[in-house]
Amino acid sequence: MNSPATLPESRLTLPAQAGAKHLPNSVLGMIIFIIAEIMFFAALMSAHTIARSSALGGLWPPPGQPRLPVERTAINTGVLLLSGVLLWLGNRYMSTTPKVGRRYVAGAIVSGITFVSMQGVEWVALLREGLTQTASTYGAFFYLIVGAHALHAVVAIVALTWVYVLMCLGRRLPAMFAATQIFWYFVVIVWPVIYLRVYL
Amino acid sequence: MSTQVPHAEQGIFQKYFWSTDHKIIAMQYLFTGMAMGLIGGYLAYVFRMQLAFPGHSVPGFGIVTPGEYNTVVTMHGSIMIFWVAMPVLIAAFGNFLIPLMIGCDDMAFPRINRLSYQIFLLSAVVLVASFLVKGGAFGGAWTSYPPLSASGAYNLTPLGASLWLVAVALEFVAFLLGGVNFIVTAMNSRAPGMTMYDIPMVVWMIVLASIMFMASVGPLIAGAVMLLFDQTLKTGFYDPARGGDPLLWQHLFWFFGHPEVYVVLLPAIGIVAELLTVFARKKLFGYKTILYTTWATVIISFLVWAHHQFVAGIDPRMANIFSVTTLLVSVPITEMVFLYIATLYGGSIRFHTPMLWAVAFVAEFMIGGVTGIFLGASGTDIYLHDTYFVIAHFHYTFVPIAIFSVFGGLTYWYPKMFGRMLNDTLGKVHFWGTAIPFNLIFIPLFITGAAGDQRRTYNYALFAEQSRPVLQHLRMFATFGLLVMLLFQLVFLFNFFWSLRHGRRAEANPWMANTLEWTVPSPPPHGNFAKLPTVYRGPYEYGVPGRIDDYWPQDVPN
Amino acid sequence: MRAMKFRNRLLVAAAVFPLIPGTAWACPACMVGDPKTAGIYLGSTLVMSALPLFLVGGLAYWLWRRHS
Repeated sequence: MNSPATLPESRLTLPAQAGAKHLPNSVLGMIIFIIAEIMFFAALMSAHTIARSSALGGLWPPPGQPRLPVERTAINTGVLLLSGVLLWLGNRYMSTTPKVGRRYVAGAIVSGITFVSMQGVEWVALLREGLTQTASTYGAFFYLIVGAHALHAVVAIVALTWVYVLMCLGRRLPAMFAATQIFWYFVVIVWPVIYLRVYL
Repeated sequence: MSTQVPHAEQGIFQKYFWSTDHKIIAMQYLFTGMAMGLIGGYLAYVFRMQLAFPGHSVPGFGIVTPGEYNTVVTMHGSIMIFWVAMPVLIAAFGNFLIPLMIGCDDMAFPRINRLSYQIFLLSAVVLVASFLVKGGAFGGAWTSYPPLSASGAYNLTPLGASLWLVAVALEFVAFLLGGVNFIVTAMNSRAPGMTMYDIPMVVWMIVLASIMFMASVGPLIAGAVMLLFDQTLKTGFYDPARGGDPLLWQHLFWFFGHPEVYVVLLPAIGIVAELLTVFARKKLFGYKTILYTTWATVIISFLVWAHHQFVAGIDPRMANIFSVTTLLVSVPITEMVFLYIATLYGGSIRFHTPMLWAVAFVAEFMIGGVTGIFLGASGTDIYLHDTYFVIAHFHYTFVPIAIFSVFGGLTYWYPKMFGRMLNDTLGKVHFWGTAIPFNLIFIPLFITGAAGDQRRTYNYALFAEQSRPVLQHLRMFATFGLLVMLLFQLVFLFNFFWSLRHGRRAEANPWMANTLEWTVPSPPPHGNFAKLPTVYRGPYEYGVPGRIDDYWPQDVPN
Repeated sequence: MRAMKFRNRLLVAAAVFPLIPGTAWACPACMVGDPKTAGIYLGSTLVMSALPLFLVGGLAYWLWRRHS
């Protein structure tokens, strides 16, 4: 007896069942999660800013600590940004020519893995040069912030690969793909900010 | 979307421990929170006994050493806020009420919901286990300020400190997952016809609290990771000798810590809104005004956190700004209290147990709010900081929030949760036995605090300038109040468990309420609604002129 | 220009007042630090306080635009 047909017109248009305008659950959930993530990184960056400004003698990096590889990381930043662009292209082609779209997604995953591995190589070199978490707040903040980002990148790559494999097996997962994309864009966009604040 | 999901008969483990049903998860949160509440109450008993009779053996605990005293005080605060108020108010009521009140079959992400509880349970286990490690549980105060918390040499509980941080971080991950679930469910799964202004106030409040939690928890997790690194890897984030800054923790902690106050306040206020309208048989006065003032509270609550640091050495410009914003936040909250009183005005009030709790909430919370003004103004705060005045103030806010509104909500929704009615007489005995002793505990503490009693003091007799033997009577009086209050909780526990089996069977809508959860049988079956409801009006249409019934359920066409 | 109403003048005064802290500050530890660090603390406080409001407000505005 309570069929929606008896609803007044004003109540039919407003609520949740608004058809195409309706954001999928996973996309909305991911956006809300990203807000919490942005606050997490903002807190790390502001803590870093304060530590940097109150460094002993105003010297940053502290004397005796190795300099960060600015140029190599600039190239690496480019690799990560490229990965974001590839994923965006992959999403554009996915609806029309899924085969091409999947190829772009694979490219995004590979360049993402390249970014993380180059970061790992850089860490090993820096550790050899004596930049450790305990040596100074400079090193502590470097490993904390870049490590937190790397952790996010690894999780995002795993998720993206998982969605990619499922899509190659013929599953259609538009909402899940969209949510994973949002997470990867977050990882890509937050990195240049970190680069500008921590490396330069 | 079919709600008639055929499901195989599940085993006990499947049904009660591995369920994705929002009602079962709500019960898991509720019972875990209640168990933690018992621990928290026991800890309060231990340190109040020590303060009243310093040096004497506390029955059921033994002699309290200074280190144990620190542990007991710290864990009482942590448990009551993070493992009682949060899981019960947000997770238990949120999980139980949101799908039922907005008319859908389950949460948006049922499996994430189950994961959320499991992580929460793990955090509770880690916290309780920390009592058993060498050195005992964390003893550096629930705010965990470095350098005290950063070094085991200072807090004397090196293992406990790290376990405390791990437990807190896990708990926040659990509520992060839960919060995403609440917001998405309330936005996407509402019954057809339910517009923004048809959502019951308690759902709005839980969702807004979740939004606040989401936006404020990141900095604390960042700070907690840094503190954990300081403790375990010996980094120097908070060590001034190595270029760190101990004030940084206070900023990161209170950036979360103050919104957190409103995170637990809003669901409580929402529960009270439901109770007041149902038992006053009157429309909620100013639904939209309450909603907008809540939004104002959410916005301002992000701008007040530094008032916890007025004596910590922050920039005076900042202290002045935060004084003003702190006093400002009392405006929307005051407005809400006025609207609640206006809701009562002219209603045909029925004083069942839930209504007693709701009215007591409004009355006691006002005392908490008014005394907060003295602490929000940076001038008076410098004198009152770290005294029992602060303790009494925030217990006058937190006890109504985490105890009064929870008991109100539990006694109100108990028939829906368990299908039986609670005994109303025992409920009233429990109410008076809790509300009166509560005032007897904390009114004396306002006086001792104003006289200068420092908090976190193990034994006043050990400090010449703190001793003030004349105040010892008041300290003992507060302890007696606590003993009486704790004893009366036995009445509640008896009522709760006895009624589970022997209570009168509850019909679908024993309180004659409007919201959707009362349209389904008590307790609701798996999948909640036999047929998904359609909503035709707001949730508070009580006593509409020209109708025979004085209530008008949301899903009845006309 | 017409003189401001007394009430508005009071509001402006109240808004400006917190920015000019008096010298009789009772807190012994305040203002002994480096003014540059104090400024950065103030700045990051403002940024961190405003950020969640913009994030949540932006999301709410975007969703509202989508739906209407």
